[in-house]
Amino acid sequence: MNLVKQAKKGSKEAYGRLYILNLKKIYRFIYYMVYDIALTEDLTQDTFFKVWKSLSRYEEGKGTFTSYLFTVARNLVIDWARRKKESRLDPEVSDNIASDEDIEDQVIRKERREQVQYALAKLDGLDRQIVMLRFFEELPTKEIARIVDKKDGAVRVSLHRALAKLKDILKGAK
Amino acid sequence: MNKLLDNLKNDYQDTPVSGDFMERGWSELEQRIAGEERFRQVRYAVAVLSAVLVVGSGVGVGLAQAALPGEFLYPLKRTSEQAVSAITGNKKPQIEHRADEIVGLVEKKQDSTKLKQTVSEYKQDVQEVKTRLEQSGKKDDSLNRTLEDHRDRFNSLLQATTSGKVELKEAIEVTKPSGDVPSVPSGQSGGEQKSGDSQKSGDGGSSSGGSSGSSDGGHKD
Repeated sequence: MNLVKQAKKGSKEAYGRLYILNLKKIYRFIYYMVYDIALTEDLTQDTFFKVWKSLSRYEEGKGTFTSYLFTVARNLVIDWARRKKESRLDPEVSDNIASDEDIEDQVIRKERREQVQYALAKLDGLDRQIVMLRFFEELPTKEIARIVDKKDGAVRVSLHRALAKLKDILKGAK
Repeated sequence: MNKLLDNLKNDYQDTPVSGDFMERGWSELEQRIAGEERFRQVRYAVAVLSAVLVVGSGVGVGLAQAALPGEFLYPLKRTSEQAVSAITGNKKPQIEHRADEIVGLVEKKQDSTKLKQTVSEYKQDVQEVKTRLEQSGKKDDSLNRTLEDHRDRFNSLLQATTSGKVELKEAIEVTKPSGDVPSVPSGQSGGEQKSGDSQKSGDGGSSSGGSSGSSDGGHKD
């Protein structure tokens, strides 16, 4: 029996493994929308908690478990943004890298993350989500359409436009 | 250009999960889930308990209807009675209950204090309803029929029992039609009550009037 089926039957152990498997994906997806580490942690936990509570409603035939997680995460970010009345788009970051990490590694990681943040922050919210899901997470456009609640064709158009813009941004940055 | 995008993709995928979140994340979530499950269990238990209480209290109230003063369920009977009376403004169920209790107490030869108390409450309740009817100028045939029925039961019991006679006579007195009761001077009560009864209730009335008339006048409130 797969992990999702076990979790649906109430296995916390199976859900724990699903958590470990998907944590990074959900975490970074949220992070590049809110740019706040503490908030990212909270929203990530909320996502997994909400999904656990609604597992009985999740139907495997209607998309993968990961895309279900992305859908819930995206909705939580939107709710948060609504509550805040504005979504934070500035790429200023509060760092909280593990203290035992090598300093040089920290600096490199920070630079790389800032580069991603810089590029993604130039895209509008929906384009950014589509780029992250398609280009970075490699989800099929059909799944993305379901997550962002748009038509498949509209997702493809947005993706095309966003990638062109991203190339321009990267060229400019270079 | 694609290399730049690939680098960006790698950088994105290398985004570290902050601090010790990777280790503590699951244990925190597990606790939260456990808390939610406990909450769900408590909510379920409360729902079941509420259902049991609702059904149980219904059964309890049902059983309590037959309780006599001094018995375990009697307070529940009185409470439910007061609640019904407060909602409907109808005192007749109380009158019915007190009459049943008077009969029950006499039949069981319970101590006279409880019987006296019950008869006193019965008289008070009946008088209150009668006064209210008089003030409103309305007639209530069903109340008259109920009181006639009580009078018959009390009279039958009066002939069959050796205890509680005085209390039964008091109770009989208050069941008589209002026109007869308030104007009765103590010495003339028997004859007037008798004629009033025979006009309104026929055989039962006349016999009861006869049996209670002589000694009741002095006891009237």
